[in-house]
Amino acid sequence: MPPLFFGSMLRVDLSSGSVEEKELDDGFFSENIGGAMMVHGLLEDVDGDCIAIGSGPLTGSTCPGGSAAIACTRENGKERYAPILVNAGLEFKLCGFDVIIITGTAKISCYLWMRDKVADLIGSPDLENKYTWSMASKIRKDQGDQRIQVLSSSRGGSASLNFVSGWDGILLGRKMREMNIVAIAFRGMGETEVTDYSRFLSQSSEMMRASKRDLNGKTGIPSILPEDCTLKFPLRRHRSCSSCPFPCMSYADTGIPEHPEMLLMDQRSLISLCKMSVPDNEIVGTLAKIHRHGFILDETASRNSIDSMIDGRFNDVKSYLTKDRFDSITGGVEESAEIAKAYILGICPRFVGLLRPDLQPYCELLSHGTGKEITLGKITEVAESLLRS
Amino acid sequence: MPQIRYYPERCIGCGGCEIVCSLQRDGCISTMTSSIMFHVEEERGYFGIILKRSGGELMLGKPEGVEVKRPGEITGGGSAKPIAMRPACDICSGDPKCVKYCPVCALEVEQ
Repeated sequence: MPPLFFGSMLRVDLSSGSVEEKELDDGFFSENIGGAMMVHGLLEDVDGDCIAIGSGPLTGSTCPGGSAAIACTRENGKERYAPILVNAGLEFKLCGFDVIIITGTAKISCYLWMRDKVADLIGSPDLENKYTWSMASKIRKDQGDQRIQVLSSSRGGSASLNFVSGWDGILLGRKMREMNIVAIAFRGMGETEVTDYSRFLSQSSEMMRASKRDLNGKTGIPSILPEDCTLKFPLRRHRSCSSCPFPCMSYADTGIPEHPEMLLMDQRSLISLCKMSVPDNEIVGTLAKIHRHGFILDETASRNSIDSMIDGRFNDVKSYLTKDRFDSITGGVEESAEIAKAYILGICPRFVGLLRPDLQPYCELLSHGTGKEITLGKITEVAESLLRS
Repeated sequence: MPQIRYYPERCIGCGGCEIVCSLQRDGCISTMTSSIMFHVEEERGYFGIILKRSGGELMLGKPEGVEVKRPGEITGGGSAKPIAMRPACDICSGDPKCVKYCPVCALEVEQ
């Protein structure tokens, strides 16, 4: 088993219902490092539209900001990438597969359930008409574990992760629905080896403390909104994703009995709602209703389009699609080589885009973890190759 | 004997303490072997930790405050490997790595 990985990928063909595991050798990881580059490399052997998820070498580790698994959609030959965050990067990392590639269309709607190097396709017509967030509750209840992470499809186009939305600007949710896979669920029960774990741990602790200093007191979703967008409703508690020192998300009351609180990650939609002058006491409830249908707002959104989203008039509104190949999920942070590096390593692109950390210590950490020297030059080379491809 | 103390009002829910514990104890990344479990109820905006202390006591670090339960009083959550079945915290022989790692000092050593 290569350090920091399982050395295993999963190919799922929804048309035939086949689920096949394949081994990935150490050389593959040395060449591609991981994350988006690994996904991109494996997709070269796959025809047509598909979806894929992969983990970076630092995903789910103690590396500051190492919270991202990587989602990819390919449509008409164009690949786009989005980060899967909160606790899901960690749980995907440890579910037993470094990459999953899903092709075809299922005959009846189903969900993929992965844990402990086991993967099953489960027929689930009962989930088809549920809101994205309700699917998470149902699957967790059926499988009996509240730590299961659920990516759920949507009519609106953007997938949700459990009860958090706004991170899928690549139409993963729509692609899943087209392929008749309503959800992808996973739980990390495995373990990955770390070659020099003692140095890995001491260096990541030093980096964690240094990152905290760099944050300079920034906390919660208000800290990443522009000055002219002030939230005037109460926020309950700020939170970060796994192993991240930056709590850039905040919990707020929704006013919806079945989902009384939501975690605000979606900076882009909040900016749109502020600009539309939606009353303060309606912002969170409106966002929750939009998100549960799988919508994200952009700067062109109007009150009419929001009403259509909430009322389920899906044909009247256009789904959000990022213009970037590597989405930063953060307005004001453009695609760059640094963001591509984050997608290769498994670091949150928002963390890299906003805090702009020196990636040299991250390469040293990676070298401790793999037992092989991996230079920043190598990561830059791989990122540039990915951006050119 | 020194013990780990938890300050819920400082915690940002990164759960890094759970991973640090398994890394220090077993040299691997896992959520199944640590003496600390990160607990989250997303729909309620509720998160905290459970820590198994020596002697089997469980420290429940809830947002509303910290409680200590004796062995057998609770099962320790619905994880695939409940905390009661895990090794107790040995405070890393006096140099607890979770305390060093925590970016917001939500964990401290209590003498």
